[in-house]
Formats: sequence, structure tokens, C-alpha cells
Amino acid sequence: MSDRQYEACYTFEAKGTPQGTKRKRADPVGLHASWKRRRTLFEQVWSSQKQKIEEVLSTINASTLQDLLNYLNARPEGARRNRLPTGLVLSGSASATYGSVFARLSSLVASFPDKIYIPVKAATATNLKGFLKCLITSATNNDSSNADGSDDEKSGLGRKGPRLLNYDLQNLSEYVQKNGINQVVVVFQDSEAFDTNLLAEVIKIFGCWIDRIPFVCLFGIATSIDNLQQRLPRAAVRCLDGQLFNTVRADEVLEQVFRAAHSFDTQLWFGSGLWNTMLERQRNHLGGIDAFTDALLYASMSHFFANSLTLFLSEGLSFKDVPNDHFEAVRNLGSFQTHVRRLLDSGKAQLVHSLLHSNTSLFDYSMKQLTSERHRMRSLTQCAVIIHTLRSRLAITPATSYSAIQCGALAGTLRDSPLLRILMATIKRCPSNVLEDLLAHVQPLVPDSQAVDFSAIVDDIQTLRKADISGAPFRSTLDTPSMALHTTMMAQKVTLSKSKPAILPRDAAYSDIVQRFHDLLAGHFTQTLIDPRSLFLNEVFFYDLKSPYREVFMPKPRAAIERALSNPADYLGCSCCGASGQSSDGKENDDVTLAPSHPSTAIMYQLYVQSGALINVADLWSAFNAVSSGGEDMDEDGERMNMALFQRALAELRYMGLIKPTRKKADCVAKVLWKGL
Amino acid sequence: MPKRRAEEAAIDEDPTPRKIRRATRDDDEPASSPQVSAAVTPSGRKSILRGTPSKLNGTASVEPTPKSLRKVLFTTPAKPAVEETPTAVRNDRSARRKSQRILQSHDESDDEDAEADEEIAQQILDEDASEDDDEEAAVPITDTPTKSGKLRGRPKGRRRERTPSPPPDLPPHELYFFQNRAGGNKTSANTLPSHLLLGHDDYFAQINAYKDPHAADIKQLKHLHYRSFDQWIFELEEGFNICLYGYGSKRELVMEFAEHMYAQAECEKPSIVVVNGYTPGLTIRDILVAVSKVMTGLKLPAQPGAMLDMLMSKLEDTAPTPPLTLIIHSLDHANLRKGNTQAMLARLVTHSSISLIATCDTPNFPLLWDVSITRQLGFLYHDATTFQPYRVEIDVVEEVNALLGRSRRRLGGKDGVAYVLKSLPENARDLFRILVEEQLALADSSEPSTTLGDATADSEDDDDLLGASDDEAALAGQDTPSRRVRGRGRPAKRKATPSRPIARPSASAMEGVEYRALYLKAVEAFVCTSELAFRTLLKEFHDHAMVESRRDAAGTERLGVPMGREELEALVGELMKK
Repeated sequence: MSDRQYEACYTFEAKGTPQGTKRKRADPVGLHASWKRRRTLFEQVWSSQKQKIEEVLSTINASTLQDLLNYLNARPEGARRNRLPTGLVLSGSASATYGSVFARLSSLVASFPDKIYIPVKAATATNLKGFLKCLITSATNNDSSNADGSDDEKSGLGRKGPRLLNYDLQNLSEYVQKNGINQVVVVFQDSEAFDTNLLAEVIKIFGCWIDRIPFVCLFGIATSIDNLQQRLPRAAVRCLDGQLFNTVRADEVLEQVFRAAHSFDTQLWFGSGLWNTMLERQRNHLGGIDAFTDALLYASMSHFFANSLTLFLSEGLSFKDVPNDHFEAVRNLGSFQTHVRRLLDSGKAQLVHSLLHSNTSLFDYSMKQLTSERHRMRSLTQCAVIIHTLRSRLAITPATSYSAIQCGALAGTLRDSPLLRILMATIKRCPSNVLEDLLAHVQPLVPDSQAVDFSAIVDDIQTLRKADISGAPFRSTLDTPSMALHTTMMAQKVTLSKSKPAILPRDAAYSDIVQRFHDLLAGHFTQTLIDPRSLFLNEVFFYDLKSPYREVFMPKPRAAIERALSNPADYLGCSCCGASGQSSDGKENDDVTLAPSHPSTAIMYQLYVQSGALINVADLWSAFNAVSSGGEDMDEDGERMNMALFQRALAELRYMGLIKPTRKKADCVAKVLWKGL
Repeated sequence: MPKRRAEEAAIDEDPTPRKIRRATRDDDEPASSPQVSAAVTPSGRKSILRGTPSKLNGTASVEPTPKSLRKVLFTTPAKPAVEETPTAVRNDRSARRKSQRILQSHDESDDEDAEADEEIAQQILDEDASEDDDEEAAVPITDTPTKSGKLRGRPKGRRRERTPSPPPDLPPHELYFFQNRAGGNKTSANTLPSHLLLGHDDYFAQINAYKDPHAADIKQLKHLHYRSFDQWIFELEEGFNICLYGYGSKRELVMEFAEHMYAQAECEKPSIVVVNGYTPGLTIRDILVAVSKVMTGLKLPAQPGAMLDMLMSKLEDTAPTPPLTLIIHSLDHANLRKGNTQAMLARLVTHSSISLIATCDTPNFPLLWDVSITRQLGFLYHDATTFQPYRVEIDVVEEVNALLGRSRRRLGGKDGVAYVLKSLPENARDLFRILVEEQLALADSSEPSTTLGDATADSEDDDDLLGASDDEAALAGQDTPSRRVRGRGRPAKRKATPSRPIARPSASAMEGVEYRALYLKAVEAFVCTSELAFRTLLKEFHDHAMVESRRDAAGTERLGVPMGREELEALVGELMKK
């Protein structure tokens, strides 16, 4: 291995002998022993999840795609006015999503033999020549089935006469004629990124060739059409014959995927902290929806990988599948301990005893409990769905997104939230037509046990309505203004009288119904809106760790390097370097620590941090020598050793891009990075 | 001075009140001086000096208290007496002074920076005052002339008090501005004696003898990372790619991981391609070729783009059954940093049957990739700080030399060049001599107005080069006698002399000789007859890195020998002798 370290590229061969005597496949031990089972479980869980997400994604822009396809199919007849047919695909600020629209469009277009689909990116071509060259090669090459045909074509070109330059659109024209292509779809995915002049020229040239090459342009627009139009000169705009296509906004896509991922029948629930972090990152940073699905995948991966108790999630688990140490792990869970305490408080000492001492009873008990606890999680999710439906039906402002409500429910804060209070207050005073609408939407969502009560309410309203002939919606007594001031003129005397409006008997009856509905809902909410963390064995089915997600997707490499160099003990865990750093235990003192025991690069880094924008290497050397010798006088050998370390540290700093050579002053280097910036 | 007065006379409709004022002041000054002597602190003295009538007038009319003019400890009772002078009215008209005053009164309570501002403001304010002071100095009746000197020296003295070390606990951005402030960088002119820097042999001898006191800790850290190997395998299998960052060489760690992966593979051993990103001259082509080697029966086109296309289509057709793992050490190395290279790599690893493990060493490597490339790479980032030295990745001695602009990757200085020239034909030697002579002549002529062309030129410091060449000559064991004949002192001794930095600027002026001019000269000297022959001769020089070619601002090609002036002179001497 070591002899290949200077080779540029090579195929790896294991260091051990061919038979692999050096290393054996190590079988996992301990809690990790159940990993294989967990892995299959994970794959099961994730594949169902993934399927749901993909279903959502495939339907999301289906109508836009269909429109685009129809547009393309209808075009050949329409393109006679010497104008360039152009589809303007407006995708809002989320530039990341349109990639998927175009990707799916390309696969759809590929099924037509008479169309060529050419995606062009701003990065690939900076000038007209390069653009055309790129366009022509991708147009003539991407037809892989026709590989031999292209050879023919080349020779054909040779026969006909002078060889054309490779950016001459005549090439494309001939290719189009030869292969009977009646549409060349050119897609500018990132139209904003294109150079304005280039875009204008390209459009004009396309306009000139439209009678020979059946061009259709598609622009992906992240800003607005006005912006595009303003950028283009009038001559170019005149060539275009545009039609607008809207795509689903990224926020909406995100919500839909969230719905798919966090639904009634999930096996594993993510906590509000994790959801919020993921959603926030998705909203604040450009990134396609696939980044979100990746995050979901990684969250499930880490849960199943790191938590051996996820084994209990598998269907049809039998006692003998569970290694003994897993039971010990269950007994160490925080939720187990609180649960046991609760059991003891309610005087079930016998049960507790068996749970603590018998693995079989623990297994049976926890499997049973898991089913019921997961059921409670489901009703929690469902309850949040009800709240969201009610809110959206009542059009309560500010509109709260589905994901926000679900996150509130998962955090256990929804029950006492103002959001819910406002909802309940609004329900109390809603008229009968609204209530009926609400009931119609809520009834299918409530669990069977309560469905009876809800249908009773529906029936009552029906009977009330039958009795009433006016047909006007009933009003709740709370909805009418409770007090009214009446001014009466009686014989030159003004009488002010306060009175409650007369309550119609039907309204009074209706108010009772509304109240019943309100109470029913309130009862349901208090019952189901629980804090998931209070559930027994929530560690198994509830995952709310932000840190792996954050570290893996949003790394801070610079901070890591700075930390390693300014506080080496954090990584090395040695007592010699840590002493000064830890005794201060304040971050402020970090940069004051300079100990001879530090690794040489760390010493250098400290000196580097303290010095100004220009560093004199001679001074740096004397400082380094002084620090690393620890104040003792060094003999020649020691100094040479220090010099070697100094040189190495200096080279490492440069390698990491912390310093660069400068010509401002002799023997000086320039500082590049400032710590903490 | 007279000029100034004339100016003032022109501005002032009536110059006489000034004189009156001065007279009154002269009366006042002695009255105040006992107080000054009572307050021994120099600041007290200064405060009085600050309160020169003209300035005081300026402030007093707006703000009667002397507050705005910072800590005036002792106010002379004489001030009110001077207040009503006409100059005060005149000064008061200045909008600039008004605004300055307002600014000042705001800033007053602030810290050092504000004080610096105040100083500037003060200096502006003092302009008028100093006029008076100068006059005072000129007028013999006023007290000691040292006074005015002190007045003007005061801000300077204060500035000198400011320490070059930053005040503690500056937030990072403040520290940045503090360290980058104009004129704030007082780096010493010390130079590092060349003999201190170790050569390759010494360096390796020392480093190999070095026993890291942290060896055990580093090993433990490595074992910590080993524990996540299974996790990494899982992540790779789920279609993610892995990027390791953090301080320290991650090469060994990744190779250990490769071993582990190999050992853990169940049936078919995975094919792993290793790319050492730090290898000099590595290109994307090498990587693609290495990948294609794993897949048999591929005849690759020459262009990297076409190569990648072919690879991708091949991968589509027949995906390798155990997915191919690509290990790239130092993905962010300068070799691979080009946008196109990264984009191609990203495209390659998007394929589901290729997984990538890359290591990155620089702190800001994520900036290499834009959104789409980041998405294509699909990295999971792991902190893999190892604290292991970058043993393979860096050529320490070369790196340090390049950093300090000492010797470069070329033949050992003057002696090396002489050695090469010995083996070249006569006319090549002549051409080289002409080139060097021309270059020297050019340097002589353009010495005063020298501008350094581009940053590639590394011939600025003669002594460094010379010193390095001496070292190398000693290493090579071919000390030419001619140098001693020329009677130059032993460089090692001379190097230590403090005169070095002074000699530097003149030598840093090596501009190249114009290609055309050199050609004509060569033809004149019958060195060559055609441009082709000329080119052939030059090529030999280029191959030995004896000549550097660059284009100047006007686009003309210029040729130069990358050496210091004294070395060039010595070279000419040698060449002439032959």
C-alpha cells in the first residue's frame, strides 16, 4: 500500500494475503448483533415511505407536464408565423424544482422519435459559437440508437460538398431533414443565468432558422417573465411566441412531501425538532426536494442503525429473535423507568417485579404496550389533521401550514396553544351551514369510538333543519351580538334601552348542538394531544435527534479545523494540552493557550491567530522556537528538530490555505483566514 | 509663513483684531503658567496648550463648556476674556468646523477608535490653530518655542503609545479590521537566515527521529474513527457519498476503511479505485482512465468529456455488480480544483453504482461546489480530524521554500545552469549569454521605474536565490572555482549582514527581454539564422526551466532568466570567460 501512495490512480488491492487471513469478517456483537434484522426492517420501512413520496412527486406537476406536452404536440401546425414558439415555465423562486419538471419532460419527449430534446445550461456555453457547437453535438449525438446512422450522415456530408463548420446550423438542419424530425426542443433551464447578449443572439438566430429547423424553446424562469422580457432586446422578443406554464411552488411541494412522509400509517415518527430543522433548511436554502428526501432517509437510517431497540418495531417479532442484552437496554430506558414508577404508584408491584426480572414478560408487555402507544401516536397525528382541516375550513387567519400544526402536535405544545384556543372559540359561534361543512370533513377523520357522537350531531342538525321552514342557516347564540342599545323616541323623550336580542328557539336548540360539538372536540383534543415523549418506549418509535442531521448535511469544516488547532485537547483528549484550556473553561481564553506540549501545527496556529495580516517568518520562527522549547535553552539538535517541526507546520498551514506567499516584504507570508469569521 | 499671512489677510476683511487678540493672549499666558506648573502632569500642560485662544474661540461660541475638546483638565480663567474676539465669529462661520464639533461631541465617550477619529478631527481643527502657533513661534515675545513643538507632537506621542498587539476580546470581524487597518501592520524587517531552513535530507532525518508525544492520543483518535466504519459502509450502501474533513491527514484512515470494506464484503469483493488527489499533475483523465480500467472492454476516446460520456453510457448498460467505490484523497487539492473537473467528478458519482469517499483538507472546501454540484455529489460529511501529519500530501521543504520565495523546482541555481550550458552547443551558450546580458541591461535601464509584472516571476530576491543555490551547490558537490576567482565573499557570511533587505528592491526588477528583440540580437550575433533554429535553442532552455516566458501587459512575449541579479552577473562573467 505504502508504495502506491505516490501513484496517481490505482485499483485497490487488500493489504492482507489473497486468502484474507489478516482480517476476517467481523460479526457484530452486543447490541449491534440485531443489526441485520434491523436493516431489513429499515429497508421495509423506508421503501414504503419512499414509495409514498414518489407517488406524491409524480403527481405534483402532472398537469403542468401534460400541458407542456400538449403544447409541444400541437406546435408543428402552429409554427407558421415565422415566430419562435416558446414555452415559459414559471417556477417561482424555487429554481431547484424545475429541474425535476424538465427531467420528467425529457423522458416523456424521448418517447417521441420525431422530437429532439436538448437541455442547455448557462455554464456549458459562454459565447454564441460554443453554444451552437454544443447544441449541434448534443442534438446529433443523443440519438444513441442511431449511432451508425450518424456515421453515414458524416460521410454524406463529405460527399455533398464543402465540409461545414461544426457550429453551422446547416448541420442540424440536414440532420433534422434526414431523420424526419419535426421538433427540436431547446430547453434553457436556468434562463436567468444566461448572458443576456448570448440569449438575444441565440433567439434571433433561431428565428432566422425557424423555417428550416422546427425549433421550440422552453425557458425555465425563476424570477418573472417581465424580467426576461426586459433583459432581451426588442428584436429578440419579437421573434418569440410565448405561452406561460405555471409549476407548483416549492413550498407547496415541500408540504405535500411532508404530508406523505408524516402520515397516519408511518412506523417511525420524527420529532418536531428534527422536522423543524429539516423544513427550515429546505426553505432557507436552495435545494431540490430530493435533498429533503435524502434528509428523511438519513434520519431513518440513523434511527435504525444506532438504536438497537428499533428491533421491537418489526412485525411478528418472536421472543427468541431478541438477544438478551436488548432487554437490559429496555430496562435502562428513561421512559421505562418513569413508566415503572407510575406502575408502582398505582400499586402494581407484582407487574413491575416481573418486568424487571423476567425477559419473557417484559417482551410480552412491551410488545403489547408498543401497539397501544403507537396507536396513540397515530391518533395524535390524526388529531393534528383534524385541527388543520377545521382551521382551513373556517379560514382562520393567519393560515398555519399543515407541517406547522403537525410539528406543534409532536412537540406537545398544541394543546395549550393560542392556535387551538382561537379555533375552539370560532367553532362555538359558527352558523349551521359552516358547522355542517365542518362535520362533513371531520367525521371521516375521527376514530370509530367517537364517530357515533359526531353522527348524532349530524342527525340532530338534520332534524332541526326539517323542523325549520325558513331555510336560513341557524346561528349560534354566541354569534349574535349579545347586547344591543335601542334608542326609542317616545313623546319627545328618548329612551335608551339595553336588551338582549330575542333568541329564536331554533337558534337556542342549535346553540346546544354547537356546544355539544365543541365539547366533543375539546374532549377529543385533550385526550389525544399528548406529548409523544411521555409515552412508554417512545425511544423506539420516536426519533428527534437534530445533531446527526445537522452534522452530516450542514458541516462546519472550518470551525472543526479551527477548533482542532486552537484546542487540540478537544480531539486528542490528552491531559497535557487540555490543562490550560479546560481550567479556564471559557471560550475567550482559547486563543491564549500556548503550551509547548501542543502539536506543532497547533502552536503555529495560535501564533498565526495572534499575528497581523502580514507575518514575518523569522519572527514566527523565533516565537515558535521559544514556545516549543518551553523556555529552556535548546542545543543545536533540539533547534534543528524544532526547525523541522516548524517547517512542517508552516507547510501544513499553507496546504490548508491559511497563509499564502506575499511579495510585499521579504520573508513574510500573508494571512488568509481570520478565526471565527 | 508670509504667504499664509497674506492669505489670511485676504480672507479677513480686517486683520487688526487678530493682533489685538494676540496681545491679550500674551497677557494671559503668564497668568496661566503658574497653574500649569502646579499641575505637573504633562497632560495638564497640554490641555492648556490645546486651549489656544483661536481654537477655544471656535468651540466656546457654540458650547461654552470646553467639554467637546476632550479631557481638558485645567481650564484657564483667561478663556472667557478672549471669547468675544472677532476671529471667534469668523471661525464660527465654518460649516465644516460646526459639523466636526457635533461629531466630536457625540464620539467623545467612545473608546480608542473614537479617540483616533477625534485625533483626526483634532488635527483638522488644529490646522487653524497651528497657523497661530507658527506665528507664535515666530513672534519672539511668546514663551519658549518648545511649546509649539510639544503641541504638534502630542498626537504623535499618543499614537506611539498604542500597542501593535490587539486589544483583548475583540470580536472576529473587529480583529480583522484591526489587523488590516492602514499602516497598522508593523512587521519587522527581520529575515530568516537561509542556513536555518533544513534541506530535504536534514528535514527527513529530523522528522523521522521525532517522537510525537501525542502518538498515543492520535492513535486513540484513529480508533475512534474506526468505530464508525460500519456506519460508513451502511451509508455508502444506501447511495450516499462520504466526505471526510477536519485537520490531519485522512489518507491512512481511508485506506484502513478500504481494507475494512474489503474484509467485510460478503461474497464478491468490491472494486475500489484509489485516486491520490495530491499527486502532482493529476488530471481528470487519469481518474477516468483508472475507473474505466475496472470495467473491461472499453476503448476510450481522448477527450475527457467524451470519455465521461462513454463511461456513463457503459455504466448504464452494465452496472458493476458490487458497486464501484472511488476513493479520492484530497478532493479539494489544487490539482482537482477546477470547476470543470469537479463537475465531471460529480457527474460520474451521480451514477448509483459508483460511490465516492473523498477527503478534504482545506477549511472552505464546500465553496468549491455550487448547488447543482453539491446535489450531484450527495455527500454526507463526517468530521475525521486525525491530527496525523500530511506526510505524503505535502512536500514540506519545497512548500516552505516556495512560500518564502527561495528556490524553486528547477536546476540548482547558477551552477545548475552552468552545468546544463556545458552540455549544450556553442551557439546555445551564446544565445544564453546574450539573453542574460540583455536582461541585465534592461534591468539597469528600467531600474528606477520598476513594476513587477505578474506573480509568477520569482526572481526578485537575489540573495535568497543565491543562498539557496549555494546550499544546493554544496549538496551537489560541484562548487565551481570561478566564483571564488571572482572574489565574492562567502555567501553564508554575507547573508547575515543587515544590508540584505536594502539590496532587494533593485534586484526585484527583472523584466524579461522581448522575444523579437532577442531574436534579432541572436541573428546579429550569428547564433542562429532562422526563427526555427532560435525556437529550438529556446526550447532546450525551457525544458531545463532556465528561461521563463511570459506576456506583458501589451501582450508581447518576454523571456527572462529566473535568477537574481548578482547571479546573472556571475553567469555572464563565466560565460564570457569561456
